[in-house]
Amino acid sequence: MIKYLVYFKVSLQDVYAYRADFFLFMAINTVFFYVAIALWSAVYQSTGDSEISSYTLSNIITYYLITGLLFRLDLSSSMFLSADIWGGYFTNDYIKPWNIVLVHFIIVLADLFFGMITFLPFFVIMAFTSFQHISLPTFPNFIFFIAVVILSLIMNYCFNLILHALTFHYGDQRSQIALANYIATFLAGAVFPISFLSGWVRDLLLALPFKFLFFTPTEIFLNKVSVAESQVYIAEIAIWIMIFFGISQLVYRTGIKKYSGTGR
Amino acid sequence: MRYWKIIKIIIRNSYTRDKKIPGVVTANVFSSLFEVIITLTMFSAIFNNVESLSGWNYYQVVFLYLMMKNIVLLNGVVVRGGLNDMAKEYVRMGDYDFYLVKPVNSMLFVSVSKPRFYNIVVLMFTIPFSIWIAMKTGIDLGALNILAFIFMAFFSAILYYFLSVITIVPTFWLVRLFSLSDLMNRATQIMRYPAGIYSMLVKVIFFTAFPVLAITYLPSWTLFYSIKAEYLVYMVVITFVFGWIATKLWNIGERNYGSASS
Repeated sequence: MIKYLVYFKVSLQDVYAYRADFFLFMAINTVFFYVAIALWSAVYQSTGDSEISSYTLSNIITYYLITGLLFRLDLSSSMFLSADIWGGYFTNDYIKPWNIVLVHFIIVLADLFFGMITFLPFFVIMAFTSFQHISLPTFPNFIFFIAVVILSLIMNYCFNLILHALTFHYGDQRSQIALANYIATFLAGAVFPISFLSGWVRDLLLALPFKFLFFTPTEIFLNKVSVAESQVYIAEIAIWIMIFFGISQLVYRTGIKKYSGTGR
Repeated sequence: MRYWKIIKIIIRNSYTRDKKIPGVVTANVFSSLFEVIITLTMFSAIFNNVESLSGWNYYQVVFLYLMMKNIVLLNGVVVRGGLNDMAKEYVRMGDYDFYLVKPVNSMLFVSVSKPRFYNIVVLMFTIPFSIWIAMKTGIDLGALNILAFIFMAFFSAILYYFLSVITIVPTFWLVRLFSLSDLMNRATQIMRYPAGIYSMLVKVIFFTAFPVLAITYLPSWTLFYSIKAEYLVYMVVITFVFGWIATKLWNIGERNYGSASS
């Protein structure tokens, strides 16, 4: 256990070297939030209605504030297993007495943790400058929000493990991984709430597990989901974690037989 | 003549490089097209509830978005790759030496050094789609409006390039700020909606100090509404002004460059 804690600390020191870059990245990412406020304020002003698809203006602004925070948990740019396999650096991990899946999860956690820390000042500014529109959750919903966010991060890691492990079988997958994560982000409701869609598109997106990355946690934060429903969601995420982890292990174990020290 | 020779070599290199990485090319083309689909879906969701957004109908807003997309893609074909590498690698690794010692304009040379021709594939879809959307707006587009639009769009594309240069110039001093390459991407968020949705202060800033709103809004306005001479003149003037600023800043930054020891 201690070796993993040390690894986390070392990974954190590694990302700390890029603190100014993190800071600028977080700063420029606030643009999306303020543009969203301007856009949706104009939409609600035009329609004259106080609600669109059961969302008030306060709901939608809170939605973008929370998704802005959840974007910091997007691990697509923090995970390098595929690049390591492709480049042959995976050998370093393979010969060491540790769990490779866990070690890469620690690298991701260190990166996300540092990203979250650098984002916090901007999050406070965003919340402060739009405080009159921010809806707060009830205490039980806040707890479920945290639980769903943590579980969905693990689920997303397992999903990405599958994509990264495919490098063993099919070679360089970095652009395919980027594309898959990009599509998953939209399917998760990161650009706008899934509730705004209708018909089969909405039903399809609600049936997929990606909704747990952005849409479901934010709905819980907005008190649009009851405690009983939240419990069901947590059970659902647990099942998806098991499915994704099972598949990733299958792809990983069969793939590692094809790995040579010079890369893939 | 020497520029033409350089461009020919760069084009050949780019084609050879892209041919070797079909996965990267395909993924980039798909993600670009997918972004169009996402945005259109969002606009449909918005316009299910409203008839217009700051006085612009659905097709006009889609056109404005496609205008942004086309300008970004066009810059992507020619200059984006080189500027991204400048922000991420050239100064930090000392690779800028290669561009600095050549008897050509180093800013221009760096800019065109990594063209991404696969963006043309997306442009082949977005440009005809923009034309179709413009015809669907229900507005009678006059020949003069179209000519004025083309004139302004030309300057818009150049202005976008100069603003992109300005955003990455700090790399001469702040060598490890990779995110500089992402600044202009974020600015495209502002360019894609009608200017009327923003407050007066935001409009003043993004029409004058950092005129990303002018890039899409003024040409589109000229196409759909009456031609205003002051818009045409303004577009030309700010393009030259920001061109001068970009060149000046680049030259100042260059003096701070000390090869790999920067």
